[in-house]
Order: sequence, then C-alpha cells, then structure tokens
Amino acid sequence: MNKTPGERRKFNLNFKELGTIVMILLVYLVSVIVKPDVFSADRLPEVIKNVLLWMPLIIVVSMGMMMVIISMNIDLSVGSMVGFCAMAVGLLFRDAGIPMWLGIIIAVALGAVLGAFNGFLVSILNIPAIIVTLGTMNAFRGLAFIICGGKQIDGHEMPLELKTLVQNGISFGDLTIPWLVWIAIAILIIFAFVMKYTRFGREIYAVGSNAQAAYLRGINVKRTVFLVYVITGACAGLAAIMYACRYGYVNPSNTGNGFEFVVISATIIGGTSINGGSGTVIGTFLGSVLLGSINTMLATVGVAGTFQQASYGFIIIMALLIDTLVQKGQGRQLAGRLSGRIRKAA
Amino acid sequence: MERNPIITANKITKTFSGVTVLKNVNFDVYPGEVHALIGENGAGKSTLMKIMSGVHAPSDGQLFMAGKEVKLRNPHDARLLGIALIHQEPLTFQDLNVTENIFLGNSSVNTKGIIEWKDNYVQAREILDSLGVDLNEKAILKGMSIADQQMVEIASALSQNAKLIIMDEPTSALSLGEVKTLFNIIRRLKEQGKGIVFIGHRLEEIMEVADRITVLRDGEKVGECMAADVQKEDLVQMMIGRTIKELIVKETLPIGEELLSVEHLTLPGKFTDISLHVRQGEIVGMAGLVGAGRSEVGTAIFGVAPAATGVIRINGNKVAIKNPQDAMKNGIAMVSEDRAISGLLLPFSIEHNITFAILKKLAKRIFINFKKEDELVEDFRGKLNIKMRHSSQEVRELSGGNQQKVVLAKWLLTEPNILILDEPTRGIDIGAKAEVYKLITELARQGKAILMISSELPEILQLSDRVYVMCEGRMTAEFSRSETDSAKIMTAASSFAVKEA
Repeated sequence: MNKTPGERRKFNLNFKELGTIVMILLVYLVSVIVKPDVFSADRLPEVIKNVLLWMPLIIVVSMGMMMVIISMNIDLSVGSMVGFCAMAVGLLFRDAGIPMWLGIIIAVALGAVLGAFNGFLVSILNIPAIIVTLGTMNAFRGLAFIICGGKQIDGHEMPLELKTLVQNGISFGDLTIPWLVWIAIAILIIFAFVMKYTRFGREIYAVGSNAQAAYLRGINVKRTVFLVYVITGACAGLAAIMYACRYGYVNPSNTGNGFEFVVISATIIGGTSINGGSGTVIGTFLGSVLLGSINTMLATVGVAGTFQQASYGFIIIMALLIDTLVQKGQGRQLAGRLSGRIRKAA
Repeated sequence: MERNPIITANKITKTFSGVTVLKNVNFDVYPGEVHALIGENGAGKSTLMKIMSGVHAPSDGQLFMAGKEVKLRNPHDARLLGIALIHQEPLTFQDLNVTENIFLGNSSVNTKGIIEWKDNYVQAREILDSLGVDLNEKAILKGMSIADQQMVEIASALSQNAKLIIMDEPTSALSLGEVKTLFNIIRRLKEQGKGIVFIGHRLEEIMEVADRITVLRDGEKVGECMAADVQKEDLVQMMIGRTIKELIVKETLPIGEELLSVEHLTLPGKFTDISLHVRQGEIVGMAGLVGAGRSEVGTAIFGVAPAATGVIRINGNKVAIKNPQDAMKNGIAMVSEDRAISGLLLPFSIEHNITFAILKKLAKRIFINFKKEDELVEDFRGKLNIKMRHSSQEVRELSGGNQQKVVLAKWLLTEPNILILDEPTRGIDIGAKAEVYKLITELARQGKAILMISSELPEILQLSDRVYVMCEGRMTAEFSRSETDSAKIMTAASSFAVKEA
C-alpha cells in the first residue's frame, strides 16, 4: 500500500494499522487452537459479550491518552482517576441515592477536575508530566481508599439502571450491541472529528510536533496541554461509570488498577509516536481492540487467575516488540507478504 | 516618492542583567525594500531582531508602525501586526503537512474552530503559487530540505498578510541553487511591497540581495549605507574595525618529522588511491569542491569509515585504524563539520568541556584538583577571547564561533599530535574566524601536524604550508605554499587528471 504524503489522517489503513489487525486476528487464532470449544455455539455469545463489554473502557480512556501522547506528554494517573471517580460516584449512589444520569455527569466532571489538577501542574507550573502523574497516580488511588473507608460498593447499592446500559442495546437479530458499546462508538466519532477537523485538534499535533514553533505561531501551548489533561480526566470519569456498569461493583483497589499500562500500550501499539506530533484515532482504536482482546481471551481460554497478570504483561511487551521490529523494517518484508496474502484472500 | 517606513525602531537599548547588548540603535524598513543587518556574532543583530518580533521587550526606546507606537508583548502580537520572523533553523511542524504548517496559528482562517480542509488546500496552493514555489500542499514536512521548509515558513507569514518579514541568516543552511531560489522569492516579496530584514554573514550575498545595509558592532550602529555604493572591504572594516588582511597572519614555524603518512588509500565509491603526508608543525590544506571526497578521507583516517585498502603510518610505523578509538590511541583527533557531535558536550560548562579530556592529569587518584582546573580555564579564557559570561556557562548557549574555539582549546591541552579539521570556520563570523586561525597556528606551534579540510579558498591560501587538491575522489594536485594560488587550486579542483607521482 503506497501512502502518499499528506493522506495521513484519511480513513485508510496504513501498513502499521494493518499489522495491528493481523495481531488481533492472531489472538483469536491462538485462542481457538488452545481451546477449540471457545467458539462453540453455546459459549460464543458469552465470549462476544465479554469482549464487547471490556473494549469500551479501554477505547474511551485511550482516546484521551492519545491526545496526551500526541502533545508529547504522558498521563500515568488514568487508572487511579478511574478508581477515584468510581468510588466517589458509588458513594453518591449509595448514600445520597442520586439517579444514574446525575452520576454520569458527576463522574465525568470529577474526572475533568482531577485532569485539571494534572494539567495545572504540567502546563502552568511546568513540572515534567511523568513526575506529576506518577505522583497523582498514587495520590488519587489513596484518595479513593480514604473516601470509601477501603470498602467496596456492591451492585445492589447502586441504581439498577446501570445494568440496562450493559444488558440492553440495539439488536441485530440474535446479537444485541449494548449501549456501553454505542457510547464508545460515539466517543470515537467525536474524537475522530476533533482531531481532524478542529483547530484545537490540529493545535495538539502542532504542540507535540514543535512546542516552541507552536508558541511563536501564537498557539496557547499551556492552554492546549491543560485542556488535553482535562479531557483525559473526563474520559477516565466516563470509564469509571462504564466500569460500574460492566462489573456491577466498584472497589478502591481493583477499579482501574493497572489501567494506565493497558491504555498507554494500546496507544503506542496503535501508532501514536511517543515523541509526540503524530497518532490517529483509527490506530488507537485498533490498539485498544488488540489489548482488550488479549485481556478477555486470557480469561476465556482459562488461564489461571494467578497467571493472568504476568501473561498479560509479557504478551503486551511481545506485541510492542513485534511492533518495534516491524517499525524498524526488520519484519517488514515478512509482514508485507503476509498482508498481501490476507488481502488476496479477502 | 514619499513613503512611510513599515517599521521604525527608535533609539532601542537593551540590557540583560546589567550587560548592555544594544545601545541607542535606530533602524527602519520601507515597503519593497531589503534592509540587511550585519555584524559579528554578539554584535546585537539577533537581539534587535528579537525586539522587532516581540520576543524581547526593549529596555529603552520605541517601535513605531505606520507612525504609531506599538508595544509587542509576545511574538504573537508581532505576528498579528504583520511582522513575521523566519528562523535560521525553520521552526516548522515536522509531523504536519504543508498546508497545516502554513495556517497553524492563523486566526483569520477557520474562525469557528472547524477546519475547512478543501478551502485550506486551495488557499495554500494560491500562496505557494504567488511565491512561485513548486511544493505539494499536502506533503508532510518530515524529510523536506531546509530550503523547502523555509518556503513553507515564508508562505505561512504571507497567509497572515505579513508586511515585514525578518529573515535570520536564511542562507546559512542552503546550497547555492537554493540560495538563488530564495533570492527570487525575496524579489517577488519586494514586488508585493513587503519589507524585508535580511540578517546574514556572507557579504557577497548581502551585496546581491540588499538595498540598504546597516552594520552593528558591539551593540552599536556603526554604519548605514546603500548596497550600491559600498565595497565589501568597507563593510568588513565596519564590522570588525580592522581590515581583512590583518585577519590571517601566517607565521613561519619550524617543520619537523613526518607524523602522518597515508599511502594508496581507497574506499570504493568515495575516494581512490589517496596518498598524503603531514609533518610536525605543518598545516596542510585540503582543497576541493563540496563532494570531492575530502571529508571521507578525513573520516577514513580517523576510523569512522575506514578505507578498504591502503596503509596509514604514524611516525613511520604502519598502524591499523578500524575505529575512532584506534585513531585516538595513535594520537589522531578530528574536529568534524558538525560541532555538536565532534566532542563538545553541549550541556556541560565551558571549563568542563576544556578539561574533560585531561581529567586524569587534573585528578590525583579520584579527586579533581579544582584550583588547577580554574587556573587552566582562566588562562585559556584570556588566550581564546571566548565571549562568555563565566566559565561555568553551558557550551550550548555559546555562538558557533565560540563553540569552535572551545573545541580547539580542548586539543591544545591534550595528546593528539595529529589533528584533522573539517571546515573549521564554517558558519562563524569573521572576527571569530580570526581567532580560530590564531588557535590553529598555536596548535601548529606546539608541533602538532594539522590536516585542514576547507572549502574557503582564502583560508587555505593564507594558512597552509602545503595544499592538496581533490576532485571526484582523486588527488589531483599538490602545491607548496610558494607555488599555490586560487586559480591553480580551482583548476585542479575541477580537473580529473590524476596527480603525477
């Protein structure tokens, strides 16, 4: 596939994105080989549901992370923001009995406030992002424990409607696509539009590409970076509600734990440059699907709980390694031939 | 015709923490005029330019545009008023395409915050066409030449209706052909009634492109003249307060034993059958056109890209040099064209850069003798005339000329007996050049053998005891100091006759 210059952000798949698709297929192929009955008629609906319900969380937060990384920053605190927002809104559900719609608004707003705190430290006070968010990663997680007294909030203590977002949706014959998935799709479309068609989106690329030049062009670099963190926080807030819907409980130590690793990996595998300035929504989406698939399939094929975390970490590192090799061109020929065959077959 | 200047700088004074870098400077630019600003490094050119483009505020004095006083709080203010700065190293966005680079930060398009890609592409095309630039408006900047990126910056300035375009040494990274293209564009800009401030070092170019020339020296305006009624020599004298002949003083130094000799060195595709030798205290020039393979011979001797066949002898003994470490063990050092990679530790202080290579001498066991280090550096500071605030200043803050002095100073202290200098005065001003020449002479006086690769004929002619000329990877001539002149060198540099053995 020849990529003409300037066609970068068009909705066509480049070589790298094709590679991600191959890896996604590989995950399911390996799953079938290891455990053939995974895709048998009676288990299939459940597997599909697991995959569909885990993906939206990763996608939503990855979109924010993509913005942050394009602007040449990083946010390690997303997992803890998810955790804190989930606990805070869980408390409001339990003790104040607020309705679901208010809970969603509060979660998103709360996430935005936490993000603003990160953004203030990074952009206004000029503290390196990695230090700031490493600090807030611990601080927010700690706050999550403090506000709930370390206790989990169970499903029956929260509004029942939360379940409707998971169980109901738009049906296509036997297959129901839950509302949770539609929320993620809506977020994807909004981000795709913002990144390509708005001045704000373009300025994020500019800031990450060359901050000094951006400043001299009159772009408010500090404001751009600040807003990027606020948006990421809001995404984490939304993911907190999605977590409550998906699992039916929120827990100060589990909710959002390790999420930063998943989301950053998804973004990088999706082709966002850690050096800033480039990255696409479609690539990040594919990266999220890959990591979501790995995570879900590990449990589905029956990897014991104790082994799951270690396997997950190693598989992601392997995916990054393959990715880097492909980037360097070492695996390029092979992958090129492979993708050629796949397209022929398709 | 009575016209008003686009911008007038009136009695501008600027002090940085007590140091006055500009004193009462007046400067103005008329529509359709190229006003060149010249002076040595540190003369205040960049400070004046930064004041006119809103980067710095003047300590005293005013800026007027169209008769009204303006206060520029930041570069964006200046841009909105129609002042655009084109940087020496283009400040562009590598990951974005030409059109995005042109319109970024331009608030007159996309007013609603929504980008009209189609419109933008059309407008970008129009601007590029008005400049006569043949660039694809959809191409990503990554990988484009500096010249092309400059065009994009100029196009960006035009997209905001810039009235005044300030170009900071725009030709320093351009090839000859690219300079021509740039000058054509400057002519077009003049026709469109834009005012242009052109900052530069190369006087030939200044004479060609400028209408008016202002010379700064040590923060003061020492002259202003029309380009048509001035001679290059006068400009040089104004800039440095001395004449050019005084700049390069050749001393006759005793020449000793042969230190480095190279026989039949060949690296296919780069150079063929190169033989040369350099003696103690001798400065040997390597002349030729760019791409003749001179730098490749240098890097081959230094072990960066070793030759395939041939013999290198040090003090008459055959040595194998496979990498720079081997070369250094044998007492060879090289200062490459790119100072940043030729052994300068940019984030280190000046003193640490100078003494880095002799830490072993300065240290007793593990502790560094700071007093001794200070004395050494102080001694050098005087000798080198390095313009610095203090010796613990970071090297990356220094100008190119001063950086080069630090590089050479380092070798004065250290072991290498053989020095290969590749374009030692590239990109540095005349005053600093003179000091670099003094340093090279000083190195020769110490008995070092110096192989100087240079594309500047005056420096080859004035400084060398002997000259080799290369053309297309072959040695085409060797001249002694007495028999060399510029015509002979140029002939040899463009002829393919192999030097007779």
